[in-house]
Amino acid sequence: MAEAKIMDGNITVPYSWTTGPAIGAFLTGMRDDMKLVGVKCSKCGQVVCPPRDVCPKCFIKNDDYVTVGPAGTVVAFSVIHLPNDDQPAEPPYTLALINLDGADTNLVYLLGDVDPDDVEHGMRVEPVWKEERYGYLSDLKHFKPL
Amino acid sequence: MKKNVAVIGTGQTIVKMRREDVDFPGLCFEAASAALQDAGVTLEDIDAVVFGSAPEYFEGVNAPEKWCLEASGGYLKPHFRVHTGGTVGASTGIAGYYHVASGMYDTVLAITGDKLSEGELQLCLSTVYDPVFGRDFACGAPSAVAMQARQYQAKYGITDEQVAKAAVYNRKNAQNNPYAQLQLDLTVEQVLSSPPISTPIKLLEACPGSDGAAAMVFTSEDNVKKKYADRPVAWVKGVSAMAEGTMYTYRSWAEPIALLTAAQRAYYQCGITNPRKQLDVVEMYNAFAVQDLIWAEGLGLCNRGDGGKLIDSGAMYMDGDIPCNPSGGVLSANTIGATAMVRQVEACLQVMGKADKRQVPGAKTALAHGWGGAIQFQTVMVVSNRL
Amino acid sequence: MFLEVKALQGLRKVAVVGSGQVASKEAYRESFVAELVRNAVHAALDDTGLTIDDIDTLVGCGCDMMDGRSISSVFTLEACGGFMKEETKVEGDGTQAVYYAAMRIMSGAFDTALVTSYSKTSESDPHYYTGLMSEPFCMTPMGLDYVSVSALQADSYASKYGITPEQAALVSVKNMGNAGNNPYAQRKMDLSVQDVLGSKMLATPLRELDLCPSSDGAAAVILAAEGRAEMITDSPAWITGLGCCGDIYYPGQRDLTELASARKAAEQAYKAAGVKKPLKDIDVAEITEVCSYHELMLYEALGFCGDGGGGKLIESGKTEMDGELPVNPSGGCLASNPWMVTGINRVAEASLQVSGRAGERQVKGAGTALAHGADGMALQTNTVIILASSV
Repeated sequence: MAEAKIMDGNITVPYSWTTGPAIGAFLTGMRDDMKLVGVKCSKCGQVVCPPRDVCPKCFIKNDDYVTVGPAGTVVAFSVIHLPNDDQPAEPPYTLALINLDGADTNLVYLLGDVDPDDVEHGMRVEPVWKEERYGYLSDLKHFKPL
Repeated sequence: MKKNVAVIGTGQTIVKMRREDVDFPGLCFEAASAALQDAGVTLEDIDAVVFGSAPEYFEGVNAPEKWCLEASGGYLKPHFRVHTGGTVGASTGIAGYYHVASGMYDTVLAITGDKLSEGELQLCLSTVYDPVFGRDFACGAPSAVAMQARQYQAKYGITDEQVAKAAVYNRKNAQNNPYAQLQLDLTVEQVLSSPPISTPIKLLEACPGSDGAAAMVFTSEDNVKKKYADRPVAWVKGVSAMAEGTMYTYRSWAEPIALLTAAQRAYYQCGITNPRKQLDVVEMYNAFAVQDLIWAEGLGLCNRGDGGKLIDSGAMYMDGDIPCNPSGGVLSANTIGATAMVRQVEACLQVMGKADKRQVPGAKTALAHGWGGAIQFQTVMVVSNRL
Repeated sequence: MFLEVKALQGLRKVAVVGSGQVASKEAYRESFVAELVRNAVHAALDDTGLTIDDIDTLVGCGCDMMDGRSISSVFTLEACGGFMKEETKVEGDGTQAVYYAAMRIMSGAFDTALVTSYSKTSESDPHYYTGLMSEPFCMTPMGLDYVSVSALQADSYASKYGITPEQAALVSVKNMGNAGNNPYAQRKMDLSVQDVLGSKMLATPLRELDLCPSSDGAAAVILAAEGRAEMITDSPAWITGLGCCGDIYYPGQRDLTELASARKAAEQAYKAAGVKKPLKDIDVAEITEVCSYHELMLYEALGFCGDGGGGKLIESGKTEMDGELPVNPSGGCLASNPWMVTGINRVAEASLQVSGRAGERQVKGAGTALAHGADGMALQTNTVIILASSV
């Protein structure tokens, strides 16, 4: 009787991604100035953070960078219990949608220095920066309650 | 029953080995904007968007059409992705065509692209191979085409010089194409003495890996009559995308039956019985120089086995009777995702008279060809400036 | 309700004439992926009495990253019946493949189409398959995947409208209960609301029984043009409405409390099909609810109730099997989620309903059915297909 076998394997590919101007400005702002950069559409005026190069509605290039935050409001959150590789923290940890002051859109970010049970909708939060910053999202450790 | 569909505008990005100034969505936006501008329409005029890009491993992001949705003009519009390996550019153009031919949509944007510089290209291509049987031996795309080259050259006595000639004329043509990545002036000797990648393929007979995007705007006959009566358009006259298999015993890489059938079907749709005479220009997906000859035979530009004679005759050169690859072909720029669409774009530019320095004078009917997968996807699109 | 079966906007009529589904299972350890799809294709051909030679074009649907193989469709092509066929592949959700196949037939180039899809998520991990949809700069570092993003969406929606976990749990109870009538479903469970609320918390507010499973499976549907469809089956399921719509990518950049793209896709489909009052005009709906809260959100987006009314609608019983508009008699996505195949299952189920061939899950007298598919994080892209039987 033939045995159905299982073969394990992995696909590992190294990458070198180009960020484009908007994300480039965002990451540079984090690394150099500990500031949160958004972009304002010159046509509809919407302020987006994290910034994107193209406004979806107006379909034009956006390069009017503005500083938003640093504080923001938690509009939604979820306490992640399910463990996996490549998580930003050890479960249970809280991910939130944060509406930074001055932005019309929300940032998805890790919350820290707060018990998951104490997180509330409408809570005010501010960024906690790492001492050494390299231009990666992780330069911003997490957001903590104001 | 069948509605007539025309291409009213096209866009391409200048192809470079690496575009450090944009991310993948940014690249798509460039091509999309260029196509809309060329067509003289805005995003409001676009009823649906169809997106195409090749294996996700290239950029390392799954469902890249989601990432590029807004940048490709899809915000709150019908939007989905087509993926057929190397032919994806053509399949996406063909999908754009069917969107309009169905009668459901009037004006449709088809957009494709890839940023091959983000990942390790040949490593990604090696993931095409079967994980149990093939992957340990895989060496990207060149090893597969090398087998094709061996089979073809041995069967018909095609010489290495003849293959090198194909490389030379394509690279020379590229000098007229501002979008091409490589624009090289070479001799046959230089090609033959370039280092081997996967014998018999040599470095200068191989395509580069590139970052780039392309887009096309398709619209209905009614719309052309209403708004574009005074402008050149490219009517889609014949379309076919065939797939053969990988496992059948009588498979021949020298004469892929999918290509012969795709060409036959497309020619039948537009009444072409003598492609050599009735086509004015051909843009082929020649990722490797030997394929210039193989595809020429498969498309019926010469008799079976006469690819070597064809290249020797000079018929394929710009001043020949069947100019091929005025753009410089895939040997000069290969984004994979957009490549097969660029062949369609170039074919449209030719019949619209908008091909500038690479224009074949008086071109009325052009063919765009694509291949992909394990050399078993083949696409053919014939366009003409006359209905 | 039997609406007039007119051709889509006066175009060539297309019908679903048959389908084949391979039962969704947690893992098919003894089958290679090509076998699964071959079985689905054979089932569809048997269902219609057609042979593969009768098929003019093939539209596949799959995902390289799930298969762990680039251009994976190349190697399942023969098993899908694609050898020497006019072929293409949609990479996304199965309903998009059906939608595109319908367009290909409507163009007049083809009379019949076979749409296939397969999924063997047991060979990899849906956390990666969906997590890899993240853009590398701002999303990957947050470890996002379908669980965390669906949870953020569920929280956004629930906190705005005061939707309770009990209301969401009613969806799980209904769907996994309905699945008991479906021979192809994976999770068939006789649940109470308390069972759902007591299941393991994955990411608030989503518990294990609030979230779709991950399944191996395959399915195929066959479409045919008017003139041909009637020769193949006595009960073709005519496509009277088609809609597709995509929304903004980054989850924080759109309003997650609503499904704007689902609403727009439905509007497009309803316009063509003449659906004016969905609750009344549609007899049965098969939708893709990745989590229980998604079903409530889809009630609103598809116009079954007003904004924020999803919780009340499930409580009213109107979407139960004996209600005014049964939703997911098959068990839906909560019972089985073979990812891309899910959309094709929705179309297959909807077509079985209007053909009167849905066995124990048949909604009596179903004349008009809705099939919905979704793709991308937080249901970024949505497709709606309306099917109708001729009176």
